[in-house]
Amino acid sequence: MTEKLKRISDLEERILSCVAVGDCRGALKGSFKNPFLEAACPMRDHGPGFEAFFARGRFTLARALLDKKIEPSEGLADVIYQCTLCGACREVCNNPESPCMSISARENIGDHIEIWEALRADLVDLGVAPLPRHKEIIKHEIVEHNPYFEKHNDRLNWIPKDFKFLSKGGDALFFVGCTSAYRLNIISSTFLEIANKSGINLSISPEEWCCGSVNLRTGGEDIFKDLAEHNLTVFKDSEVAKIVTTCAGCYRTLKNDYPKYLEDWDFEVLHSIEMIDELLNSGEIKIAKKIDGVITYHDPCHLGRHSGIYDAPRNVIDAIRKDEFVEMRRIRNYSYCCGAGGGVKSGFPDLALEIAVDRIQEAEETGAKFLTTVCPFCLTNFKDAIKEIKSDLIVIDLLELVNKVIK
Amino acid sequence: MTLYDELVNIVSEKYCTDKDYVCVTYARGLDPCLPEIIPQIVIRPESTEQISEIVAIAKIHKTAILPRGGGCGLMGGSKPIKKETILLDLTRMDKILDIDELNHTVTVQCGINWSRLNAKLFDKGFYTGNMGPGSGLNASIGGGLSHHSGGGGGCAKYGKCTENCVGLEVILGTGDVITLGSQESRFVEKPFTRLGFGSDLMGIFLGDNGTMGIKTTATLKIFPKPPFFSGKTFFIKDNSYEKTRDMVQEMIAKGWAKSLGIYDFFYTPPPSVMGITTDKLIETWGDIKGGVIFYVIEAFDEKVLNRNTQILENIAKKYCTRELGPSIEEGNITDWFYGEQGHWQVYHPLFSVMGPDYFAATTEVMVPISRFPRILHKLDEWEEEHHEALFEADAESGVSHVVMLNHNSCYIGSGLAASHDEDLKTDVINLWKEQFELLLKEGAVLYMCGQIGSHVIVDSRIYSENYYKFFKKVKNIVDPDNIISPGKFRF
Repeated sequence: MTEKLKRISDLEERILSCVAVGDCRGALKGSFKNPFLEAACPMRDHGPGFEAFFARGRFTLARALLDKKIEPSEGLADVIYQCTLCGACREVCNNPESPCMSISARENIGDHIEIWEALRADLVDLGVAPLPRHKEIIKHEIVEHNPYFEKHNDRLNWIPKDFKFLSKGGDALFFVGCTSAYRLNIISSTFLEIANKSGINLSISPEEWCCGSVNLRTGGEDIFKDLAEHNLTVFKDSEVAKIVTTCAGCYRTLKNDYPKYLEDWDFEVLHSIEMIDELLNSGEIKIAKKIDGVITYHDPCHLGRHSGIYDAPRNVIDAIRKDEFVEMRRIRNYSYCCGAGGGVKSGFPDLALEIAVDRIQEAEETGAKFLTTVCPFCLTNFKDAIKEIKSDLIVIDLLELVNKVIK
Repeated sequence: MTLYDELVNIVSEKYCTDKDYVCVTYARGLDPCLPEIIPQIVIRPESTEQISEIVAIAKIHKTAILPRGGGCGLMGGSKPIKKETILLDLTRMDKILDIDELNHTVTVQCGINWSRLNAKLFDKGFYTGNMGPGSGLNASIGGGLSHHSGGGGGCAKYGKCTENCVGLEVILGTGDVITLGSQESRFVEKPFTRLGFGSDLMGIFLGDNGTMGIKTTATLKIFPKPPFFSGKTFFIKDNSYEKTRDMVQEMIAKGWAKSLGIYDFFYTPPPSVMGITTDKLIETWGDIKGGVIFYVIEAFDEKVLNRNTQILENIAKKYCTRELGPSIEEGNITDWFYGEQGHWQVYHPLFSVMGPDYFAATTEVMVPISRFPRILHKLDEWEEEHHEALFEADAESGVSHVVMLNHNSCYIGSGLAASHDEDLKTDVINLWKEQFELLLKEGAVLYMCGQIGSHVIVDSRIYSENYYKFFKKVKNIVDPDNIISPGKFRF
């Protein structure tokens, strides 16, 4: 069995570094000067709340597997997969990023998410994971290279006829991603429209496959590698050095995961909102009017906590708003997850919806008219939540707001 | 019906489990040294009524119940000692029931943690004064009250957290629910004082290490939070135990918390500083060799703060070699911990720094101020005498910190850092017990006892014979079947 726990065996030192203080269960950090901040694990308020659902418990589970105190089982997998891989646990992990403290548990443990993903991949090897719904998705991914049970050949059907794009070359390759290609076409078409308006030449490849995020997050490392290698070939053929995407999930995968798996990876990866921020700064995009109504912003985990992009979307909002921009209670690295990530939306749709409702209610507290974000996956979950609780909040991708006000 | 089925009927299947892959996560505490036994069942009740029903069922099945809050115990207090245990995870009981701004109290369910409670209180301009145990922001109110906890901030001014408890609801091992403090009266509207109706029976349940009953609701005093604070860090070269004691005595003579607003006072002895600087844990301290003290003071008026800052600085300068600061970058860790990060549990982060190779087996005790230099010297001697045994057990001994408690006593954070080697665990446990015994026989008092500390108290005959007899009789009254936290204090 230990051979099949290779990944977590390799990470054993990091796993042992958790001393089980348990701040990941729901501690808040505040100070005499600053308000308390909460990097809340969504499972705190939306699961059964047993230790096994928090980072401390998951480290213990990894140890218990290695020590053979428990056997791998589908029940265990069910617990391990009830996690959005949002990374809030990493933020709250007991050592502060102190200028005084040069060594910290955070450094010893490293990236929690990497450990959760390794645990899932090992459970897949042991035959007790992924969850049935994830298996169906993976099966489809192998044939049609998307998780939405759509045909690969329909991937570019979203492109409006009168919009311009290149088949290769240009300023950047637009990596559309599956959600924008098959479900939220408005995001991809809006970005292409903005690019057309501002004279940015984007190329789009019909050979683009799913970035593989869904597979990597749910333990399907082998399929992820196949998808990544294929996409690398596509990128090389595209004759560009820069890749831009509108999806936070694709962004994290291309920016952070591809370099780890692909030896000759040498591409600059941008999120579309970073590009817009640059274009606004350089004056290549001109604002003709401003958005009426209070705006609030949700930091997608993949773009924020996982990739450190917090300012670009806020800069853009500042540039386009007429009324106030009101932050939610939990923002930036302390942002609350939308509930959709880590295979939770497909594996546990009710749980994903419950978490999204929580976040929507938090957004409502700001009094905003618009809840904006830059991740189609978050957006999808939020739209479901809006419907569920009949909220008046307008959930909208930030690109759409930008497109409303530029020349 | 099985025990499990009966318990599921109380809380539903969602909050009750006998699955090994869930229960195994409760076999662990902050000490990875004592045996890790997986409880039979873990249950997460949401109300006093549910717990009362759980106790009634446990009584019929003669099964042990182990209450657990944040699971931050350092001495095995929240770890089962036998498989046949219902582990009561109390973290679902985390509601703030009432904040009484007029009478300065807060009533909470005992499963809420100290940081969440204080976050709410800060919003209203209050705090609990004592900010909870040093073991973590995740530690629960119930856990703190069960251990006379402190060290997490505010001890110099507010003492132990139990000193601020004015109301308590407890479920006994008989299943009876009792309220203590002013709520003993059927006619008192809200809890406001612990003392009043004859004997202080609440005291039986405070610092009981979870043995006398299950704490469900508590009322604590709250305090208006002073808007101004400052903190300083100083380095003391050589012989700093006595110097620190003398410095503290002079500060006490000048008014301590009452006049000078001292909120916290920490002392890190030279060996601990050496460990910190050798491993470059606090880089801004450079390679100083000696002790370090820091204090934080509060005031409602900036002028008062400045005046007190000056008074204390004058005293500190008499005893200390130089100031580490005033900025964070120059080594003033108070501004980071209290000002920026809010991580009052200053030594808490250091626990993890030891991982993955070492873990902490702590022997935390309380002593009167005059005694702490002697205790520290005794611990140094003990370390020297046990040099070989420590080496063989791959362990190190030391004192990480001394935290002033009110104006007359202090917490000493001592113990071992030991390796994870399974073969050496018995040796480490023996050394751990030996150090407990030394401290207790030197007149120290254990507050967080857990399994190991409570056993040493009894086995080493620290209690007087009459007291222990009385203690057992009281336990027998409140928990006649010995189902709540059995094993501690050799019950």
